[in-house]
Amino acid sequence: MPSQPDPNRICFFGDSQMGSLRHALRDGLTEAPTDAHVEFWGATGPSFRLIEWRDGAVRAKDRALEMALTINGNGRETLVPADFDTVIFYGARFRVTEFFGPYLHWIDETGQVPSSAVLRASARTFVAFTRAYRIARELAKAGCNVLFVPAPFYTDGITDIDRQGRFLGIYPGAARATADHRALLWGALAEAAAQDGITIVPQPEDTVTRGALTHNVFASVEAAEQGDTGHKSPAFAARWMQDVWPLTQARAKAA
Amino acid sequence: MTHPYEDMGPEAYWKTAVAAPGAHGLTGLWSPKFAIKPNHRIVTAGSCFAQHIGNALAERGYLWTDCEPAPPYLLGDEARTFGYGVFSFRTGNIYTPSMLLQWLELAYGARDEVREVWQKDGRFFDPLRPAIEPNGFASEDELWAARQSTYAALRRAIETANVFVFTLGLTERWHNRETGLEYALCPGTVAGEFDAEQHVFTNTNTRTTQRSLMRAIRFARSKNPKLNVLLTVSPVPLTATASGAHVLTATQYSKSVLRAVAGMAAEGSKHVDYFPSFEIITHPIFRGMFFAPNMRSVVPEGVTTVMKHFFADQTRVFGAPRMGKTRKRIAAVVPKGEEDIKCEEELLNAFAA
Repeated sequence: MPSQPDPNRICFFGDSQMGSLRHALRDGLTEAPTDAHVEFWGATGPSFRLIEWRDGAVRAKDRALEMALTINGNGRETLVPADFDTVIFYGARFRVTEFFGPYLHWIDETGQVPSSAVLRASARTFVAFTRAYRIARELAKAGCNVLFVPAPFYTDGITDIDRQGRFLGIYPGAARATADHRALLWGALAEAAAQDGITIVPQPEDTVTRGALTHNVFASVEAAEQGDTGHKSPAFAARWMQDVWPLTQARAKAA
Repeated sequence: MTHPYEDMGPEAYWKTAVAAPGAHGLTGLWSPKFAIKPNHRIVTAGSCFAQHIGNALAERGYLWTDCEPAPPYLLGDEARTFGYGVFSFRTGNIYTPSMLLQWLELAYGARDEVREVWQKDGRFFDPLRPAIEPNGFASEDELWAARQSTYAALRRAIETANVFVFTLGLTERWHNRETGLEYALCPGTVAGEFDAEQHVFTNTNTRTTQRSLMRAIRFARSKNPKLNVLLTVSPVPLTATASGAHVLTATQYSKSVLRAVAGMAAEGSKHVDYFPSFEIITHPIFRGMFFAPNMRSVVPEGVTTVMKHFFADQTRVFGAPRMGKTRKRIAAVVPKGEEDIKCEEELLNAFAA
């Protein structure tokens, strides 16, 4: 009698961006592969800094631990690499907007990146700036398949993002970025992450508008009332996951 | 009977100006011609010692201007490895006055571009600045695009600066016999291939060095008639010489020519001045104390002493500068916190049982 294949153990590790993903799964907008066993773990933004890699596992303390337990629902206090085949960092304070904004503006002003080597070096520095990325690096080192779904671009049309001091007020050139420019930057980030055994999954092109923003159609519920440019709708999460799920399958097959 | 020496101040006499005060008591080494104020836009270029002057000015709150700043997230030493933040533009070292003239003329299209590129292991190196991309450019297109950016930065620097500090470094130079292109380094050292037929060595003398320097200064001032030029000579000895002489005597020749030419350029011009950082580092009164054990590298105390004289003499002649707020480089920023709004409820609601 054929034995049941081992489930593909997937853990989403992230911040409040996981909320929309959770809704998308509940509402059937996206579905995990049939062989997948999915868990969530993480904490919201300000508590995220209470999560660290220590003694071979991801550990949370205080408020972050409370949140991780609530989010996980299975009593998992630590995230141990051996417990998962794939860890998908979701949001996780990895704000690619902070890389795309100034670089796209630079490209708009000068017509090019300074050089591919300079872009690569910048990308390496940028990824290493983020706490979650450093945790991701440890998990990859420990043998996990690590995917990174960054915090998405700000949502268009929620606040006056072109105003002085706001995102496009500071980097107006970013609004004129083309898909080729974005691809160049995603490529540099992907290359930097690949050196650490991490796969960055770019924000789908069809969700992007005005150079480096997310289409308003993907705004979260009450985004306008709350001035929330960061969070997105379940449909947005579902769209991104179309690109993410196959990467978990590929790993499962390889294993 | 009187004579001119009777009316000279104590600075004119070795006994009172040097022997009595000693190395650390020297004053009045420089009588600056023009004030350099904290709000003046200062650009620096030249040999490696120029970067110390730029850094020291910036640290003191002067407006050292980086016309080709590093791109986002290229920071500190890594940025400097790629030639950012070292001088006011990404030219790398400009060792000779003729090289400065070449950069200026190329930047303004006053000289035909020579499309020479050096290759090594499939990478492309710029013969005018082979070290700014440590592993070379990925393509020729990338190299030329980067060159255009630097030309633009150089033009911006010349046209907007109040003061251009240029440090003269070498008299020895390599150029292409056919095209006349002067190289930053001898071909074949960092990249490229040395060709004895094509690659010509010259060691310029006071006449040729002065001619290049004066042409470069005139050219720069033709683009910005208000530009003041402050010349210094790098005290750093030659790494190597191709002159056939001993490197020590070759160094002395080179520095003597440069020192003389800098003085000649400054003489009779109210827009060109010479600041004696070379003397402060190298003069026997300092007994070599500002050199590292290899007697080539300048230790930080040397730079500090040089800049102490710089500021003291500026203050002596023009009064204490009125310092504004400390200038900080404006970091690339994106307003944070937008997505933190209601993030806790966003997440916890989703995972509520």
